[in-house]
Amino acid sequence: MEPAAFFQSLLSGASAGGIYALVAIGFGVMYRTTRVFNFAQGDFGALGAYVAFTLAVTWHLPFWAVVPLACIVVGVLAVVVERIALRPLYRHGEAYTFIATIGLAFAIQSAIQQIWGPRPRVLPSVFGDTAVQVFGLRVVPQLAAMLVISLALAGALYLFFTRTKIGTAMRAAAHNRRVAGLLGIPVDRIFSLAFFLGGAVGALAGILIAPIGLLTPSMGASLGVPGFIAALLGGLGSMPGAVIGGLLIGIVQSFAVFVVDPRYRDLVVYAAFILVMLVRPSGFFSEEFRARRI
Amino acid sequence: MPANLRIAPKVRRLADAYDSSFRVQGLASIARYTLLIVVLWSLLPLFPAQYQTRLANLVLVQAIAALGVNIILGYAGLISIAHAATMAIGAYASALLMMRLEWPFAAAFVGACVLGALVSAVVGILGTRIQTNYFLLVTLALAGSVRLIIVNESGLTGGPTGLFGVPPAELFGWVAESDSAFYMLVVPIAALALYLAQRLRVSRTGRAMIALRLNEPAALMSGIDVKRYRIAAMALGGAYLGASGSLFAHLVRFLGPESFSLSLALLLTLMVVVGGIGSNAGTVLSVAVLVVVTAQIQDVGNAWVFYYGVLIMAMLVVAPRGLASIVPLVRPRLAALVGRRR
Repeated sequence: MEPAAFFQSLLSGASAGGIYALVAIGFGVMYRTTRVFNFAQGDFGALGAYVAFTLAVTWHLPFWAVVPLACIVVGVLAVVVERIALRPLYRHGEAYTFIATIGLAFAIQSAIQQIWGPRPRVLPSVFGDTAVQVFGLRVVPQLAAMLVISLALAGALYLFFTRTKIGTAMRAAAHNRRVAGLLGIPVDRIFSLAFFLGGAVGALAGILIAPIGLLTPSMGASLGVPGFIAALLGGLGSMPGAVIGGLLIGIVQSFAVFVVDPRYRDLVVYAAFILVMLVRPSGFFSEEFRARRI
Repeated sequence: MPANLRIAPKVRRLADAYDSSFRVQGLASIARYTLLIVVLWSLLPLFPAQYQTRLANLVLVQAIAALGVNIILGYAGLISIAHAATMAIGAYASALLMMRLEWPFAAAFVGACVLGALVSAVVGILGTRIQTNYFLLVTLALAGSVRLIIVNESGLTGGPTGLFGVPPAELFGWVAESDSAFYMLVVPIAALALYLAQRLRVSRTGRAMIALRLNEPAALMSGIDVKRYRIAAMALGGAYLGASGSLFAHLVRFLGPESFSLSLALLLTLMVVVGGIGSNAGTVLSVAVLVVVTAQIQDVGNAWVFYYGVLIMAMLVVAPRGLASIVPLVRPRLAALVGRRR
């Protein structure tokens, strides 16, 4: 393989990987705080992209207003869903909230199809989608922006969780709800915050990746599945793990084309996932994992 | 309080359930299921048109699949979304065995069951290495792979356009070409499936599965080999799904990638959740209700997926134990209501 082709694949893989990392981070924020395994995380991204489409194309709002608005809309939706549908299920255990989010995923997907129609839509790129030559490589500004924004956001969230008081409170609530409540941490509000953050970050992932392809009601699955795999590879709830897992999945996806028939690209990702899981069943960084108690 | 003391009463309760579930009279039970078959058969002339017969066939075929999902999700508590993929494996295997290798239907049907059980068991083996949440991803990988193979291997599966000309089911020269003939064939199979699922529920294996869903540490303490029973649940459920897929193939006689989409897996999960996780009768009841209701609101188009998704969430909040749990909840209130009126 030529070095140029190698770096080109590495770059495009890493950009997609950055988006998967964002999905994994949003998913991890929810999981580490509330123990809800949110199957609808990819669909939050799809919903965010469609809301951004309406704001930008139909309402002609400027880009700097579109992104925060779309993220807030999806974040608020996530909070409302958590209040109504998930909170009553916590006492039954993780399996029940999990099945509920499977229902949520299909509901969002179908709602998108009802509201915006099954026809694919195009969200214009802000950073530009014509390639620029940098050091002999063709760099698409949108792809580069994807990578930079997701890495910056991952770093910011990492600092938020480890250095701020609210972030620490969120980690405490994740560890032990009852003790956190006794220490005066408002666990209910912390849970809402986790869902807001998770929904907003998920929506951002959808908005960033949308200009590369088309908006389709089922794009949530193509965003969510690599996102989950990234989160699990990195170790559920670990920020650095999510970034490394996401980049790894993106790069494996982009190099798989050289090895197998492009139509079977996703099979390589699945196989890689299962292999890693067989060797390290709890991912690369399993810091937040509680031991099984007997 | 030490953790093991907290669990002790749960172990007691599990043991009680274990003892009280022994009361099954084998012969009486077989007689009851024979009666069920005869009653269902005699319903056939009551269906006004072919459409209703087709609907009844679909209910029975889906009921077999839902019973399989109930073993996986309801007994063993494994959350999988590969149900549709396992059905697809059974359907394509059965159809292709008959079309390409000219196997008789009975052999192809058994082949579909065995293949479904094998694939499902392999997923189970991979899954037991891994935590419960990760298990879903393994099943997602299976669903994705099966879909890719169906769409891309057009030489074998017909590709995106689908597989036409699947032969009808036949048994010793008797061909179930019409819907009513198929109904005669599928009724005993569905009844047998229900019977076996009920027997499994009260058998040592089934109780072990239910115990490990209700409380894994307690089940481990009672000496239940959690991994072994998880794999067993996957294999048995896979056999049910393969059987259902095979029957579906020979009922509809056309297979396409869309016949076994992720929404079918969702629908099967919904059937079990609505019926009451772990309850066979509740599952069959909810299959009948959901299939008939879906057929009535066909003209809503794809919107039904939305209602199914919302219904799952609503059902879990309102009645986490499903239809089966509503009856004992509602009955005393109704009785109180009636009593007050008097």
